[in-house]
Amino acid sequence: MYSYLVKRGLLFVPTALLAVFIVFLIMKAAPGDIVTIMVYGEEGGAGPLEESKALEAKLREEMGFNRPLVVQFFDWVKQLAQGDLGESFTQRGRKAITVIGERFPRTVELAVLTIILTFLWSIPLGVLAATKADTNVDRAIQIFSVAGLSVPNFWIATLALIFLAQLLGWSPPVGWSGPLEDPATNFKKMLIPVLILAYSQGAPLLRLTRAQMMEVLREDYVRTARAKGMSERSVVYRHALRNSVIPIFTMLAWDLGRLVNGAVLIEVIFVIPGLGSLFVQAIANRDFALIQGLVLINVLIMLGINLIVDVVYGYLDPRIRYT
Amino acid sequence: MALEQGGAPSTIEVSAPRIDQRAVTTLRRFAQAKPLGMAGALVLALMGIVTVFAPLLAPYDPLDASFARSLPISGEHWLGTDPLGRDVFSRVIMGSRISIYVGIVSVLIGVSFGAFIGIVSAYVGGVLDLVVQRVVDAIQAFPGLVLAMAIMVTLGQSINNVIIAIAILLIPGGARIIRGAALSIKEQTYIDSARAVGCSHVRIMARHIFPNTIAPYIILISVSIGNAIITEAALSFLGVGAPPDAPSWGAMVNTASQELFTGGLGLAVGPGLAIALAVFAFNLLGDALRDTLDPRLRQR
Amino acid sequence: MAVHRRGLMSLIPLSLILALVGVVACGGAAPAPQIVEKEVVREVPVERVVEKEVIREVPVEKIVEKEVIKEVEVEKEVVIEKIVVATPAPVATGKLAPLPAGGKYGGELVRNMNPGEPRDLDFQSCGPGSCLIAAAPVYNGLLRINPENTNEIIGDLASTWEPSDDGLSFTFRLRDGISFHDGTPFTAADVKATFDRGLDPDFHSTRVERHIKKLIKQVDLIDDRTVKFVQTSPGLLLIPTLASNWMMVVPKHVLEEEALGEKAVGTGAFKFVKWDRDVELVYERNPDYFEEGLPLLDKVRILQINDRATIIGALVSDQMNMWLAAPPRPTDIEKVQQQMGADKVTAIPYPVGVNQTFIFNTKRPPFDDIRVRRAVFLALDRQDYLDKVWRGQGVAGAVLDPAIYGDVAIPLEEVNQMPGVRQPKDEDLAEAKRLMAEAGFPDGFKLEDNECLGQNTAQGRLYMEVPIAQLRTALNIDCDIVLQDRPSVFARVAEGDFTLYGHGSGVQFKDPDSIFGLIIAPNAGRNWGRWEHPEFTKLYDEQLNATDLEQRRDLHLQMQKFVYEVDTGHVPMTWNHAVNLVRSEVKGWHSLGPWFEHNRMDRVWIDKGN
Repeated sequence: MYSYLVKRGLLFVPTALLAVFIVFLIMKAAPGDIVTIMVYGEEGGAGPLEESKALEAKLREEMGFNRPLVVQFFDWVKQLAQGDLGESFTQRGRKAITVIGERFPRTVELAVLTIILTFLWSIPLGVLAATKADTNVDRAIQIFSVAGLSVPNFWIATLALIFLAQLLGWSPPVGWSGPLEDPATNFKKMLIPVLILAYSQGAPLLRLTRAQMMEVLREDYVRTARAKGMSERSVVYRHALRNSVIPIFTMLAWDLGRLVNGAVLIEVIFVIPGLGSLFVQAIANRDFALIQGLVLINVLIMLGINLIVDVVYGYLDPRIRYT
Repeated sequence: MALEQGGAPSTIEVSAPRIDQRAVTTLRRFAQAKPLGMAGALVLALMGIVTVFAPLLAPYDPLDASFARSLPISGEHWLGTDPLGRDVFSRVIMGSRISIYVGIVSVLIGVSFGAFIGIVSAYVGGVLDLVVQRVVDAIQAFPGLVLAMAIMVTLGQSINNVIIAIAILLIPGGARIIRGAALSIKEQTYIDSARAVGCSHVRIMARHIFPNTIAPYIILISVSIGNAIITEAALSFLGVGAPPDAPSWGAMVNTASQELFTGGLGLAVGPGLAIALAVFAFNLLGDALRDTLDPRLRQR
Repeated sequence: MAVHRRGLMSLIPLSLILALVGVVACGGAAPAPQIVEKEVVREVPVERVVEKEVIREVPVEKIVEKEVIKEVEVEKEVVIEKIVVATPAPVATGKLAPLPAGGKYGGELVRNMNPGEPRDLDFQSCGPGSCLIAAAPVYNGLLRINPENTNEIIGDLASTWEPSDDGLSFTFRLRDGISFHDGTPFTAADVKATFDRGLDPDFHSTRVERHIKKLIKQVDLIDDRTVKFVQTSPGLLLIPTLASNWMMVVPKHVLEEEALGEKAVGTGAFKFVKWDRDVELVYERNPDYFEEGLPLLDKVRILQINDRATIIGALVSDQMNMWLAAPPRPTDIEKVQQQMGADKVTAIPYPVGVNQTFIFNTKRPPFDDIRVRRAVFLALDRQDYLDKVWRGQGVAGAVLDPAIYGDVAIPLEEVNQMPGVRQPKDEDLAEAKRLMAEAGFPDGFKLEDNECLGQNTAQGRLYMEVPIAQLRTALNIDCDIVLQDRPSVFARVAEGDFTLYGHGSGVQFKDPDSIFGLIIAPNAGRNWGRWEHPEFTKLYDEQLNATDLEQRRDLHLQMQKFVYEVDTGHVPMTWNHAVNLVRSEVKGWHSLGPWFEHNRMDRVWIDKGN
């Protein structure tokens, strides 16, 4: 078991570095960098053309952008080995890890609330659909869930904001207050994004729950339980659902991982200063330390969640053995 | 059928151009077994017609910005006009050409390329397989939208670049699933016999392995199109997708989101509804095809 | 954008400065009628006593004689004419006007930040204008622009200042009894340290290169309260430069700690409280502020939101008091007024000093042909562009916006008769078509992919979309616009990797050089299309070296005419005017044009009472 964990953990390193390297290469291929922004893009910038070119070359030299890409990347890896993700360009003088750390809890809050709500609405409805399979109730639930897969959440978000603004004259709070500093404002800020995310995250989960339940309900032991005269409620929740839990749990865990990595569109639309909106900014400004840091953290989270899922499998299903 | 435009393989019986008795029977059976899937197919057929005849159906030039700005819904402008004074209805109609084209083409390219990698990786095995798996893991581990954004920033905005970006996102999934299918086929005895007969590796992969992965291949394509359409819309919504004049639905939703107080109802509802309808139809059809072709994959 | 009346000011002789010093020294304390100042150029005979050493060849030996010669020369003198205008608002010159009595001062002001998050708090090297907005409440400069009258420069940290006899240096006497927010007393050493940093050859920032290194040779410490600025050459540009908000004074010890980026410790009206990145900047009242009775607000919050819809929502739902530099969209303003009541919010238009231009790459065919450039110049419809890009708010087609440059700019009535600008466009279009046919393109042409470049911002795309649509209709010139993000675009234009491109350039100071030297001149930093015309270059060089105010103005007029009548690499499309949307509870706030003075907020207060 422990050797399995260590082996899996060691595999994280090449996978995560590879992911960072891929994004690093893509972003290095992108035209322009922070130096072009500094020299040409700012108010008061743009001295005579030749002087600007000289300044550009000098700054690029100072920032080490002239070195071969592989060298630049390995320097970053060396830094990483010392626990340093490098310095942000857009938030000059601040460590990428500080910037990411400051935003992380906000995204986590959004993700956790969303997952709780997702769990609360989609699983009961999925069970209901399965027990009423092929009735109108089932069809209504199915249409509702396929709609959740099909309707882009950024459109629902836009419609919600338009509705609230034009009919009620209400706008979500601007700025950001944490759940501990100002719970009321935080609630107002998070309510609609969480509802919308929970709807779009819940749709596939509902479908999965329904499919799993239908399969399990056909199994022999469920029939036996029924035959023994157990109440239908008890059959569904104590036997059937418990045995569908693994895939449902897996999906929930993955959803959590994706959400913790940043709900890009929802964060942008609702002006939530989390990891998703940070990613958008970092790409727009070619902020390499931030981009690489974010990719690294994203990948580690997803790999970590995969590992946790696997380990939990072992507890839930004794038939699974790790080698 | 909208699928025809993308040149989807004719193995999807419902879209076979020549109607023979067998196809009609299959179609009827499909419609009876999967009414929702059939409904999706019908909606898609309708959208396919709209896409083909879009220039004839659009009442105005979608680029013509000569109308009054942000007009409400009226008989003249069914969905009003946008803040630049362009007819929203015409843009929604013409937008189908972007969304459906990008959706289908990017998925075909991405999944096919993924399938190619998956088959080669499974067949060759060894170090290559290991490396491919790590790359697939790496790409799948971080948010697809962000990767697509990075690619778009690098390539610049155009419809073709959107297709490339979305196709790249789809490669790992394609590679992983087709690799799995190919691995099990590789172990079959007829592959061994083909090798014994002296078939070249390329021939074995193309003639023996690939045809046997066609079911997951088609399923993957049909369930990915909806997502691809949403990704295109999301990229355009973020301003890094289709070029600005292009009547992309996602970009139009973005305009609506900029006009929370000042935009018309048509602009808010029209383009978003179009995305939802297209994706909804593709999802329904995809579900039905998946259930029909491979009941084992139903859970996913 | 700071006030830099470089060329203009450098010709004004010392008398003006002395006049200004005088004004400051005797500025009235009591409320007085408003005084409007006009600069009038007069020819005045001046008697001057000049000592000359004259070497004379004498047959026997060389004798050096000292001779006193009286010379009378005619010199231009600018006299400040004071015109007294009856006005209810009491304004004094030279000092900040006293506050109206009886206001219910105090409150918390919430405003927006301009687009572009500051990189840090080091405004000397941080690029976007937002860096200055973040710093403005905290610091003071030696001089400032009078918020009640932007044509006047008054003392801020300096109480008096005077030029040396040769005009090469200025000596500033600092006010007494000022401390930084952390309690350290403010002395001349802080001033020297502030500017020495900018003079350090290893310190780079485009702003410092352009403003400090070019103007100032060294800063000498005379004593604790006196500091002397030695210029690189005699001139007067230093004064308006020092009054710009880029030239604020920071404490020496913070510079020594190299902590200017994360700490904002100034002498200003507000103390910096916190900066929640991408959320807000918070400031609180400095009770020890040296201007008596100021500031009036208890707290200032600057929200980092750039999204129009979010800002409107915040304004309407009482989460924000003012929206500065709002895009001039009548629908937005109407909506806000409709939601809040028209009397609850005021829209104050102002010239933002941003010039939108349509740029040819003159090194690439077909725009290496002056006839094609001219045809496009004539065919573009500036009014249509202004309507579509800026909702009709601003000035269409002008090379220089008279609202910013005053009488150096060709008046709008004349601009509107100029080729390309005049309406209706029939005559210009006919000529454009003739030129296209002559150049070999009677049926227009289509550019290749990737040749038409635009920025992928909401506004940036319009800078290309609208003119290309016009050219498509007018001359059958077509191309697919490629939109890229800011860094990509700058990387491409700097290398000349484009054929057509649309851009908006903000100006920094009031002199025409702020735009000619930025985009049009042969060596201008944003002359991305590498346009050059020997006749224009000649005019440009002449005005750089002109010593005569009238002559220089004449040259500036000729340069503008040249653009309208002959050729240019940047087609001037618009100077846009934005609006500030200010809710009625905000009192005492003035919009000061394309300058940052109004960001100090030291004389603003909130009164929700009425």
